[in-house]
Amino acid sequence: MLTFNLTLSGSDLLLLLPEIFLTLWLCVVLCLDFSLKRITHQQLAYLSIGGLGITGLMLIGMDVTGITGALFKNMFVLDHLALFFKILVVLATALVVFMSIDYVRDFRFFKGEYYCMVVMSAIGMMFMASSNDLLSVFVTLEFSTFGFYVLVAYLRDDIRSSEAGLKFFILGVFAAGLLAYGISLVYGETGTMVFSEMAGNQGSYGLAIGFILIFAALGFKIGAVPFHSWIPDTYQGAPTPVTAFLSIAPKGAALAILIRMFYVALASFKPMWVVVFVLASIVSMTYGNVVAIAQKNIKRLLAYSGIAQIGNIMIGLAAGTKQGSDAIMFFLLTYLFANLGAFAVIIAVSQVIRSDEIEDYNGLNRRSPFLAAAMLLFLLSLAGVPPLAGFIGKLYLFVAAMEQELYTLLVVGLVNIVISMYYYLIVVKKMYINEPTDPSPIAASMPIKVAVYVGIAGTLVLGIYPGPFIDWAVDATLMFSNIVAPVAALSVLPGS
Amino acid sequence: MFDLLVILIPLFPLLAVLVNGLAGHRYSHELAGRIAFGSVGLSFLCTLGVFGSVLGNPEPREVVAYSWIFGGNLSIDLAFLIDPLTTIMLLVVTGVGFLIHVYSIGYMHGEEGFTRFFTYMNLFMVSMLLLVMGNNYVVLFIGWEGVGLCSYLLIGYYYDKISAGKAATKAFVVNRIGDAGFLVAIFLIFSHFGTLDYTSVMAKASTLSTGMATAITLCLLVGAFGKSAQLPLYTWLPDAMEGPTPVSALIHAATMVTAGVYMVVRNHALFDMAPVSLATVGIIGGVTALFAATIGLVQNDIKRVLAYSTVSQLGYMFLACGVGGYIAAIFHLVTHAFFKALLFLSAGSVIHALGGEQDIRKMGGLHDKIPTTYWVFLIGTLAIAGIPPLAGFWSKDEILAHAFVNGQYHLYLFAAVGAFLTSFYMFRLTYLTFYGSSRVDPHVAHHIHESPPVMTVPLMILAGLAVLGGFLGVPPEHGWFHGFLHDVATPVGAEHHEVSVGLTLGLMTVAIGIALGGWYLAHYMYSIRPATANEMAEKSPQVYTTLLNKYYVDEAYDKLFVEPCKKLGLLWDWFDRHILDRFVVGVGHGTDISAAAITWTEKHVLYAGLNVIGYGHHLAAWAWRKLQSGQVHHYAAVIIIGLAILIHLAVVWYAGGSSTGLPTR
Repeated sequence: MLTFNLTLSGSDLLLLLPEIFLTLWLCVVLCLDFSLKRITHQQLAYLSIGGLGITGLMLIGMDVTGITGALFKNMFVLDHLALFFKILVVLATALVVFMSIDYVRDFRFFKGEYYCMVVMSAIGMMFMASSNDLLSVFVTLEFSTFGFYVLVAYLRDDIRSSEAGLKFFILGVFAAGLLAYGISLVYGETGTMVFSEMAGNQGSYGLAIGFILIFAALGFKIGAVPFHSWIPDTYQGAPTPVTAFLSIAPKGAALAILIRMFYVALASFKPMWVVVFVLASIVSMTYGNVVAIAQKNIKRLLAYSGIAQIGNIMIGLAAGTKQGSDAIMFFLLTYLFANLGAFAVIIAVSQVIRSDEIEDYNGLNRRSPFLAAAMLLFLLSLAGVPPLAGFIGKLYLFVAAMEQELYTLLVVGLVNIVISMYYYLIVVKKMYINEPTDPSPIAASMPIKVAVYVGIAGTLVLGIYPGPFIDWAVDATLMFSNIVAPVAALSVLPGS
Repeated sequence: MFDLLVILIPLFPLLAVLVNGLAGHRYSHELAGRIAFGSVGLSFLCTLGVFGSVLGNPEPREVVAYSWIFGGNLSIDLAFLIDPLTTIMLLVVTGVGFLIHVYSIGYMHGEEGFTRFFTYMNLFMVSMLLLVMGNNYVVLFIGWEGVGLCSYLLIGYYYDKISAGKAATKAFVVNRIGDAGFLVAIFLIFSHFGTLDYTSVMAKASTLSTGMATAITLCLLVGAFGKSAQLPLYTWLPDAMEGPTPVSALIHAATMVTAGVYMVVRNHALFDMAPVSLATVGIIGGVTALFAATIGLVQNDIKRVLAYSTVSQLGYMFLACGVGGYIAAIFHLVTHAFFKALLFLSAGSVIHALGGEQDIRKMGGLHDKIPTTYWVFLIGTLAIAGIPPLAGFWSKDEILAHAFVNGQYHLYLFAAVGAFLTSFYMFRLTYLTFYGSSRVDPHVAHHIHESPPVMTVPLMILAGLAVLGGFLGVPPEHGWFHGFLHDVATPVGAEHHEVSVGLTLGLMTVAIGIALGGWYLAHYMYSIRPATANEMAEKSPQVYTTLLNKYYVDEAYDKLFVEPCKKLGLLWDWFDRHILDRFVVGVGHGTDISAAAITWTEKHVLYAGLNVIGYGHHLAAWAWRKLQSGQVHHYAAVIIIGLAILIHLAVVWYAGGSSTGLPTR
């Protein structure tokens, strides 16, 4: 039986401070929007960024001072893992708001509300990072996705945006159904909702199926094959800043839940989920990379590349060790900078040329050397070329898999890096070698430049000086050092 | 404090590279030059601080600048090893480097690419410092490649000259051959020791089998011979004289080309395990010393004579390594850096005075026109020829003595004949340049002028070092230098030959005799009877032309390697265009077709099948009507199928679970 009796003290509220603060700030921004006639959407954007910045500082402060704890009968937990992902989400959100400023100018309605939806989703994702039981997983997941439903369909006059929103909504609801079904199965089998109380449970068919259903719902969020099908259409149709947002923040938050669930609740099931992740990883990498080759639209290209990158990330889950989760978290950081940077360049270019076709990137170097160089850097980082951030991220994932002797996965991963190099370099070739059809220069506005510079800085710093960031990821998962003992993994394939 | 000093040494030039490289076009040449030589000067000051600390505590110390990659058992640090050997190299690189930077301010004055020149020079300093400071093979390799790159860039500095471009390419390609060997050695070391840190590798060196040690060291040697221009990979160095003269002095005389010697000494624990490799080092070194000296006899370009002399002197250093005289090798490296930098820079001063003329047949009688340059050049000549008590005498004599005492009489013979030739061709160069009647082009003659102080002061300092530098190693075998390096560069397990004072003095006398003999012969042929040289050349034209054409080695390499490679390239090009391209295009078509086929299958077979099943019909109808493209139900179906497969897997896994010993219900 679930019974709730809430007792909250002041110090408990401290754990919720960043979320409470950001919610209040959001309300203030919303009120300012409708009460002050003269306020521009830029001002609202900078206000939102300010709120996000203060929230980020709070989170960093909590991480440094080591404030941790659990609330609401372990439904909400604040530990270093949660803080890592919250900081990631806040950083991504702030960058997305920077990128949005130019884009939002062209909206005809609801300019101010746009930022509120973005920040609201961010709050949902911050809660996701902290959710420690199945009920809070469901609630927070839906909370964050709600904002995205609206954001994806924000371009009311653009039929593709509406289409994308509708598809995303229908499939999202479908995934939510799977999630609810999975939760009911798990609760029926174990009699508990909290992850830590499930640890050590003996397996059963019902439990296994329940968890796979939950994995399906989370796999939908992160876009792992075979739950990826919404991604290309939605990415292409959604407003580009929203696509950028979708490509990193919800993935991070969902990975927080995945790590928590599989490392804590399912530690005793490890041999089973290792197989699931090995398969999902291989299929995601190969599918994403192969299909990306045929793409003509840069947003679709990045959509499929994102599917492949999720395949890379699942290498870390397949390793199933602390090293694996460290690698995932560091990789997410590198992915954040490179991917958001690439989307910032796409926005800057599409603001001028009104197109996302790869053909139209011909001769970008002549039109804007800065944007072309930045794009080159981001694509090379995504492809994993040293000494950029993506190289170190991939290296750690592969080292984690190597320690677990997942050689099949390693070979597939390496082959996939080569494939991915091909389509990233095609874009590079178009930017640098091909002649532009229209040689007029492309200028980027200040807020976009900020996002691009942050992306460049992150990509370079994480590549050249990754030490402190790796330490951060390693410290964030210290609690797993005892939970997941290294187990030889592939020797328990079904039927072997 | 110590750590900070160490990290600052390469950091200063790096900052200068960034500042001058990114913003150099915005300010004057003077400021760029000041930033450039100032940064090296600061590095030199830091080096002095480090040197002081090492004097007090010669134990090797490691300084980790930062960890780049770590994880599992893999860790790559940018870390420095500071021990007496590194300190000596640091002093040479920053000290001589600083003087050459100052000199360059004058020499390069008014050049269009002034800032570019100094950016490359500073980048070279950074790479060279990494090379000598690194505590593992990765850092060594980064520095190794970095200096190669800078050498390439600086040889080709006058990029509008075709010969400069060709020389740069040649240097790069030949060095790549060496680097390939070096890389193989690094891989072998990693696979055998599981680490790339010097300290751990050297500690485990004695566990190597002789075969493995020989394999590793021979591969290292390929790298060393490429970088240090030894037979058979020396041909790039004379051509490298296309670069500006300070570049020749810094990179192709004092520092980069000695990297191979440094590397052998650094890895001497491995070489001591491999007698075959040691013998190879000795013989190649000895033969190169003699071989290059013979070519130097007849060259007519002032810088080329010095270039062959450099190749020859590097041969001496390798010869010393081959007979276990690692300290003698480093000692000669240091003195050579002094007097060869001096010779190159004063040759630069001569060229500067003559408005770019490099042919010694068009010089002569310059000693009273440019007296300062003359005096320092003479000091350099005396030093390299081995006239006591100048620096070259002590270090070269020690190498000869080592070869003799170790019973390697053939090497001693090579070295002794080489020393005679060295003395001869250096004095020939001096006589032809500074004495006799002037053969200078009359248009040039009245422009002759002494170089400005910014060039002559570094020359005088270097001249002082060339005179006094040898006393670091006096008395032979027991000087300060030997005591300082004793712990890091003494061969493992070699018995020590106690040399009697009589033998030492005897060998010295012979060495002095050789040097003076060379001098006298040059004096006779180019001062007393100037016609002798031509008579000899006419008497045995084959010998003369063979030497003049450098034994036709370049031509032979062209015929043997370059031409076949070009042909292979053409063949490959043909293959590429006619076969590979078609193949690639075919694969491309194949991919397109298969992608299209998959899409078609998805659309018409899979989805049609699903439609037939009728899943979500109303959804489809609604979506179609609204959006004309709603295939949401297909997407959902993909999810369902994937889910079904996963659930099936889980169920199968459970069914098979009992046999794998995993928990079942």
